[in-house]
Amino acid sequence: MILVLIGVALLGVAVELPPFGERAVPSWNEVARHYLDRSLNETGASSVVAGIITDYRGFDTLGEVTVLFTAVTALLVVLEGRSRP
Amino acid sequence: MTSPVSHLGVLVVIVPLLAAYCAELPWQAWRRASLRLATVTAAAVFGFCVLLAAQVMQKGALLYAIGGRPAPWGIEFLIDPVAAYLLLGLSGIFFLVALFAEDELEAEIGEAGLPHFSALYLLLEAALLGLVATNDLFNTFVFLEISAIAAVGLVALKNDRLSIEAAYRYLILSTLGSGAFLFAIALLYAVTGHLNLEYLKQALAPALASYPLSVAAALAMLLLGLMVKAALYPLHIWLPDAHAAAPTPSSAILSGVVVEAYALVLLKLVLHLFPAPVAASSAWRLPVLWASTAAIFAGSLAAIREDDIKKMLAYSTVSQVGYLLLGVGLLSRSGLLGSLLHVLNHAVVKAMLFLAAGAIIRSTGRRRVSEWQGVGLQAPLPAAAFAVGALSMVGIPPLNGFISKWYLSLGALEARMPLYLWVVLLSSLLNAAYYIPVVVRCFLTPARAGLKAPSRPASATAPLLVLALATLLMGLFPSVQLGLVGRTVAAWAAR
Amino acid sequence: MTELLGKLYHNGFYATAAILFLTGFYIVLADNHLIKKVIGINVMESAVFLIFVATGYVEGGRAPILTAPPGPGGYINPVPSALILTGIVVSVSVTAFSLALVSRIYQHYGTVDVDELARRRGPEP
Repeated sequence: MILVLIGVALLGVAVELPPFGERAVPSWNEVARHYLDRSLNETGASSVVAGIITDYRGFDTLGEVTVLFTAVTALLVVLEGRSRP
Repeated sequence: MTSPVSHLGVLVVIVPLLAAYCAELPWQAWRRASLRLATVTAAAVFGFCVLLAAQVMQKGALLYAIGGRPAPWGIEFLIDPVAAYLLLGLSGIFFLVALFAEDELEAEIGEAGLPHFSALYLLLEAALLGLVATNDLFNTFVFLEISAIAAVGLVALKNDRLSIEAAYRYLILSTLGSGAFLFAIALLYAVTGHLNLEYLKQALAPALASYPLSVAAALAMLLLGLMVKAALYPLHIWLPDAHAAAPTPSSAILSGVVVEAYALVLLKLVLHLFPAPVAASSAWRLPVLWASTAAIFAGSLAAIREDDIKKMLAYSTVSQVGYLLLGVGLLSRSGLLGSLLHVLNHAVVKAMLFLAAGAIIRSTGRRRVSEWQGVGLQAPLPAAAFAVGALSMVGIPPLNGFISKWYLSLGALEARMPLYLWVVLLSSLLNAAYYIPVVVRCFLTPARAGLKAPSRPASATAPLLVLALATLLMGLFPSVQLGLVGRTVAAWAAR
Repeated sequence: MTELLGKLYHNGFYATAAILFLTGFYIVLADNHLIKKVIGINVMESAVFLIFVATGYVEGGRAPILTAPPGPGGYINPVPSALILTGIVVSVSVTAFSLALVSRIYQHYGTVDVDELARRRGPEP
């Protein structure tokens, strides 16, 4: 019941969101344009996505690598063969 | 920009990260040393935070663009006086608990687990301090995930069946929370195109006019996601098992710091993200207030029934989260101040309670409160620390718990919701109902025979002493804390 | 009504993501199988990735690799793609960890069913 309500609300959101595939949407703003126009000069990466993840938002990528490391450590905790009843 | 001092803001996160990588070096001899590494690193980070706070006090809020890429293109840290205050407090607790862990932990999880503990502990510290400092929504999500996985790893450390099961439930619920959080980020990005909180807030006001439903859904999901993580009542079901099953230092950190940090992110988003008409609307404030009230009472009632000391403390945390969010829901100057002060007050006290309980369990072998007769004589120092913490939780005046409850009560009056004044007052009685009997039993009943009284190394007792002292000093001199955060909070409330 | 449905059809990716999100959410809450809960989490996160990446699409746009010529619609918005790369790694990590926990639970209890687990754990001590 609650799920249906949430579902209707989310579909309403889907209808309301800026139309798919158009250029005149709020997310297509000066930030995105800056990346496309300047990233080649500023980062030297011809792939803009690569420029973003390794330079502009490189700190997120450090965090992403850290998530992996954290998960590996946590896996070691759980799987290392020292099971105690 | 070149002097190392100007990079302090980011060093607070980077240094524990690097140390965490070092903690997992695979040498046999390194296992115990890794714990020492954790302590030293936590001490260094605390030092950085002191310098940082001094800098912020002198020059005002500090903006740090990571990698020299200014917002809105890059990620930036915003360290205002409130953030500096919290960084200082949280890193201090991390240091003291690490010091305690050096002597206590090996008995609980064995030598092989030590490097994992150190690594997860440092990762958790990096993530939580990052959460406080960051001014970027997606960066917040990344830190949330690091802290979630590290916290679950810390729960699973004992690797027995109870802790594994508790860890699984914690992980699933916490991931549900972050799923909702990421969905909210997607919606907010779709309607504004920004991720930096400052720019996002500016862009949200017009977006609210064009896409009211999407913005409302996004903000609701942000709140819900964080409420699951902060274990606000109906969404708290994962907390008691997880916090009780973890080894003592983990419990102290999980209950004392992690939950508070999430509640704090909620506070930060409400203040830095919600456009003014939304922030003032009762559509989210009333549910938060109701849930907080329910949390305060339900948590206390469950704690009264609980005999296992660690579970009792965990349920007490459930009720304390209610206080934290009560102030956010009230959204008046004193209410916010009360919440903010309660973050650190509760962090100090709850960490101390868990450490003291752990030390008592260790020296007497008794987890059940009903068997604690005369424990105060066998383990005087932990029991005394426990008593100080318990009295502070109840809100006895010279201790710090009183200060935050005082401001929360004032906040209820300022927001013209006197009902919540009664909530605070009545719940203090409930707190007394489960903490005071334990203290009485510790000190005023004759001891059972056959208890050993081991001598404890200084590094295990020192954290308890420092925390107890802090509880007293924070209560005696609230003006120090108020001086740090008062002006910023007043500026928030004026908005 | 038809206008509404037309909009829904036009934003089909968003609508699909909404339905997928709920499906995953429902699986996590309602299913008793521990591994299926993990799958539910993954479905849910995929839905988020879908909606996020879809917001960056531009009709006729190409991948934003500047050495290649832009499509008739120019390049697509690179930001969502970059963020979701991070999101995917996070999701993988969580999945790996939760599966490890499930395998441990199976070793301890011999079951991955929530009800059965509660039965084998017995009453609270």
